[in-house]
Amino acid sequence: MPEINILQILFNSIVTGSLYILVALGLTMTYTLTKFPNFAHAEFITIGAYIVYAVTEQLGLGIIPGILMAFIVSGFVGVGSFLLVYRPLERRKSTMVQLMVSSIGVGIVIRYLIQQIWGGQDLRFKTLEFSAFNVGPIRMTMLWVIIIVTGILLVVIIHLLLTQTKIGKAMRATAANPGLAQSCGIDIDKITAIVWFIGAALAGVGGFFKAADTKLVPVLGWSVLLPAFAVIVLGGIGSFYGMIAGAYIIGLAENFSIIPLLSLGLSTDYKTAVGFIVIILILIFSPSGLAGIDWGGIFKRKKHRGES
Amino acid sequence: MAFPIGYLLDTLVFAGIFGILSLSLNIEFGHTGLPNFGKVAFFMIGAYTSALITLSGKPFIAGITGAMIVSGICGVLISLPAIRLREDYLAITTLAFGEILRLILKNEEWIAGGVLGLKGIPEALSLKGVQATLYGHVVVVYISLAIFFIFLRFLEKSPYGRLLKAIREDELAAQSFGKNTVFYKAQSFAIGSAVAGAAGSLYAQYLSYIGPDLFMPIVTFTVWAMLIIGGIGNYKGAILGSFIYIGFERGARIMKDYLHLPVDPNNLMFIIFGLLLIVVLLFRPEGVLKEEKVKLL
Amino acid sequence: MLKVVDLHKDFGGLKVLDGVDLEVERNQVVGLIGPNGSGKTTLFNVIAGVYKPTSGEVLLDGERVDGLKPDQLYRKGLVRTFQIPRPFRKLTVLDNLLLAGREQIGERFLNVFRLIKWKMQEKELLEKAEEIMDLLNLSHLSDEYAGNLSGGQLKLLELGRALMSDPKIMLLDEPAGGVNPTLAIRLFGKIRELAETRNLTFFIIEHRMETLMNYSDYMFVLYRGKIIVEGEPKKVMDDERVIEVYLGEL
Repeated sequence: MPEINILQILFNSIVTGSLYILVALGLTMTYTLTKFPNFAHAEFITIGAYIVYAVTEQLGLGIIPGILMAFIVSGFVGVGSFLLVYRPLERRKSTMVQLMVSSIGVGIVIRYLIQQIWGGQDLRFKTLEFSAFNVGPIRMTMLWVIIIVTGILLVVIIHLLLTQTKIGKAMRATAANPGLAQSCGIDIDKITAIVWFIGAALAGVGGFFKAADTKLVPVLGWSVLLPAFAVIVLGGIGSFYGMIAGAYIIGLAENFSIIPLLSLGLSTDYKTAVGFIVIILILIFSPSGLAGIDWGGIFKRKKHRGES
Repeated sequence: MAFPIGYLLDTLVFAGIFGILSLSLNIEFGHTGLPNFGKVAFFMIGAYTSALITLSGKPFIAGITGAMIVSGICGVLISLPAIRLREDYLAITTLAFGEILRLILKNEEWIAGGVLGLKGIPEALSLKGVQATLYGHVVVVYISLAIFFIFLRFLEKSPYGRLLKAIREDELAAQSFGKNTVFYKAQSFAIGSAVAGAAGSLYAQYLSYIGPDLFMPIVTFTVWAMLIIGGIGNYKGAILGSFIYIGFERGARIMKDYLHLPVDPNNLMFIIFGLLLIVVLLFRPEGVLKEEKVKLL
Repeated sequence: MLKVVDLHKDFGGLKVLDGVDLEVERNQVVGLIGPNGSGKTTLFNVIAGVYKPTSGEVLLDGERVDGLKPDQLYRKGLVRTFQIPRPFRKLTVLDNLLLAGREQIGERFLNVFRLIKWKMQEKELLEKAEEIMDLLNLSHLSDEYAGNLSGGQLKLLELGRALMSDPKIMLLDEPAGGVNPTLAIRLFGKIRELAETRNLTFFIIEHRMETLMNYSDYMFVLYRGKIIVEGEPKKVMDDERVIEVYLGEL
């Protein structure tokens, strides 16, 4: 059994968690506003990665324009699918399951368009070199540092957006009570569209990071979608701060699961199942996520028992 | 030769097997309102169980029975915790279950060959010659399809079916009239899973090879698409949906052989298919065949 | 028959029921009135097992039943209707009624294929359903999807389903809301008759007390989660506090 470097695992967990923040933010926001789990979010993730590939590898325009393009294109794909499919369905009083299935349809269309354009084979970012270096006992690459910084920056920006700006407050109001928000003069259609754009755009950037760290395939988004569901379910759907906590908890759980897996002689492939298992456990024991657990109640009950 | 008969028979077998899967989703979702997005898991359990049984020398009938029992039991086990959940959570949970199961079968070689899967699974009817064998498959699959169709229609036309539909329409109201809805939902899930298990068994004996990569979430989505296109809540629609989908898929493959398109026909097929699904949901959400008013027997 | 002792129900600190005590006698028609938001429907939901009480007891024939689920209460003979009807929209009116039938053989999975057995029972249920549809003027809608009915017709269907199940006690949540006045009077007359001839007990929520006045034996007035007045309808109607509560609403 290889030696276990706890600090390294912690660092890796933060990288994973930061990546999940990027991809899960849009998922949880659109879930709250349009009230269904959007399976096509996987393809919003994938398309971003391919756009970066096209701009940097195929056109040779460099990484910054690549990421910017990914942000824009993924954003438009997201808002486009909302305006063309989900909103018309919503207006026709479709059920949640119908919306879910339609998002599967949207996902299939995007995935096979990608496959048509770039092919189904594995692609790698060849022109991008991320230097690797050691900080004390921790091995890191520039990419991982960028992912962490992006994650933290994003949290700060979204926090400021939600609390300090008019549009952020309108978003919160719309999520909490669309009817009330509308009667307060908030254009909820516009707000919802903006949220779809930002959510998909960030997912696209997250997709690039994931692809740069591993490889680029049309099913890239799928490998992130279920953990992303775990993150938002854990954090409580629609909760921004819960989602952040959820992202790092899943990051930690995935990376630390390597220790028991190795000691049991099981494949480390199972690390990807950690998120799935968390989903199942959370949904069964506390369907509203961490926020839904009656923390006060747990202590109270214990106290009562102590008294009696 | 314009159209090899073997190709047609192969298409028929696939349409039949997926028709059974689509029927199984219809009792769960169309009939009882349980959105199972882990359908592929029970298909997989059935395929592996049946393959392991028949590879050990037992006859096919033992394989398919075992597949149904094991899948059905797994259905109950999954449903007990999951069934009280809201429908979106139920969907995500079942989807996650399917992925976990696939991961296990992929990594644990001792269960069923790991990534390599299982080879040389015996056929239900061993006949001489390729053509005869194919005919044999068609017969076996369509007898099964007919049995399940009649069985499920029978359920639908009984007070039992009426009760399942009532749960779909309003669970609290059904409870208020004394129905133990959780129990019935678990039963519906078990029946659906057992039928999916039988489809898996037929799939395994037809392909003679199974591996984890055959059981990706896309299989579940395909079955959903079949049911939605064919008509949710209508058993004839469920089968029709399978024929439409498989016909579509095979059509694209034939095009690949005879036409030279600038687009890869396989990709084009999926793109059109995704669009079709969206269009159906937008403009004919009840599917090709609407749910019918059911008169009890 | 039905007894409620010091029943409390809080929703996140909000005391919707704040110590309700009441008793419903056998074979009586008992009214529960009170202004909007007084907690009537919540009281029904707690008695009928939709919510668990925060504290207190519900007794049916002397047996504790609080915390039981709706289906368990049904088996003990308690059936309720909903203020906002909850029909099975994609079942016909007839099937909505038949479904409410008690102890159906054909509802057990293993009995589905014992065709003759369940068909015999189904025939009995059918006769009963036809009688009820007759009573409620629903016969012409027998084969219609319940989802296509008007608001008033749905109210009647609610009542019909409850009648189908031969309960001992029926909790009716505004059974005449949205039903045309002539039919409403017939309805209450029928309820009266059923109580006397069929050994049935009714506990009825009504928003407008005048309606219930002539048909009930006893009345409770619920206000802010407490029973403030109880007694015979005449006495309740004349009580100052009741008048105050209702005037206060205006």
